[in-house]
Amino acid sequence: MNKKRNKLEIIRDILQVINSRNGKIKPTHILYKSNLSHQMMEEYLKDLIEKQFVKETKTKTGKTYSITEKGHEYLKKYTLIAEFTESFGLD
Amino acid sequence: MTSLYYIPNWFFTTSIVFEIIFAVVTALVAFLSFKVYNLSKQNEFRLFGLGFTFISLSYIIWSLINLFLLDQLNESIKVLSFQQFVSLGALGIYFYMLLFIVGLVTLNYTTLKEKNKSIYIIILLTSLVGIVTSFNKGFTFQILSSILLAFLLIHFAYQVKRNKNIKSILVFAAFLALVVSHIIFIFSTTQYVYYVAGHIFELIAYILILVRLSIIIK
Repeated sequence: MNKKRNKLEIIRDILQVINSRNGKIKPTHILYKSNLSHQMMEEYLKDLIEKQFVKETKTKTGKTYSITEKGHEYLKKYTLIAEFTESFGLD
Repeated sequence: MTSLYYIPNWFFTTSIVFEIIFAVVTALVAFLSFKVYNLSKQNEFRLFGLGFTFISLSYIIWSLINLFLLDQLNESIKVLSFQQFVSLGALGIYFYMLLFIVGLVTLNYTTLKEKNKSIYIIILLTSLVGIVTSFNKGFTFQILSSILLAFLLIHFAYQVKRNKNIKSILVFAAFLALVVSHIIFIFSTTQYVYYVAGHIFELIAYILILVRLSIIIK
């Protein structure tokens, strides 16, 4: 059985999904790929936009999401974040 | 005269070097925690960094107290006593205790699942009032520190159980050594051997934390 993901892992997964789609993705794709409920995904996206990890763009066909420089930095340094979190049990 | 602790002359310089090492290692943990906060924007890391900053500052003040406030009891032993509590140095001693306790309470708060500012304030005020109103402040301070460190140790024991890896065991062992050192410090009001032993255990603790930090950075 898979271990339950912590908050930092979910954020990494969402950012990776957005990043894998060349930086632009619709919410339905995030929902499908990140394995979250609709409500949880909305909450995480709101949080990530507030933290400026993700940018929301409104188009005629709906919303799209792209990853920002801060989001890229998070993915790049994720190992450091995860190691520190695991060391001191801060998740 | 009530004594806070005794230091043998042969250990005097070494103890100050140890305290500077403790300050540097705790400052490194704080720095890394703030770095992780900047990357993740998770408040837990900011609080954790603040907790270690307080502890690091307390070690700097501790080393300054030892440098400037000790009395020469006899040819071979220095002592920090309550006599100095009526001098300007009293502020330094209280400030050291305050910073260390605030640091430990902050670290304990970061380990709680439920974050509520009232809980933080209650734990902090209870601890500080306990020290201020105590007749033997040094003794009460060491007991409170041991209790707060013991609660952190429980948190790290849970991490060992959950992660089952050597990295978690390293941090658990470090905090175990810290708890032991502060239990030993309780008795340093009577004999200098406890002050030396407490320092050695504390050094072991911070070496273990340093090893863990080096694995994280690598």
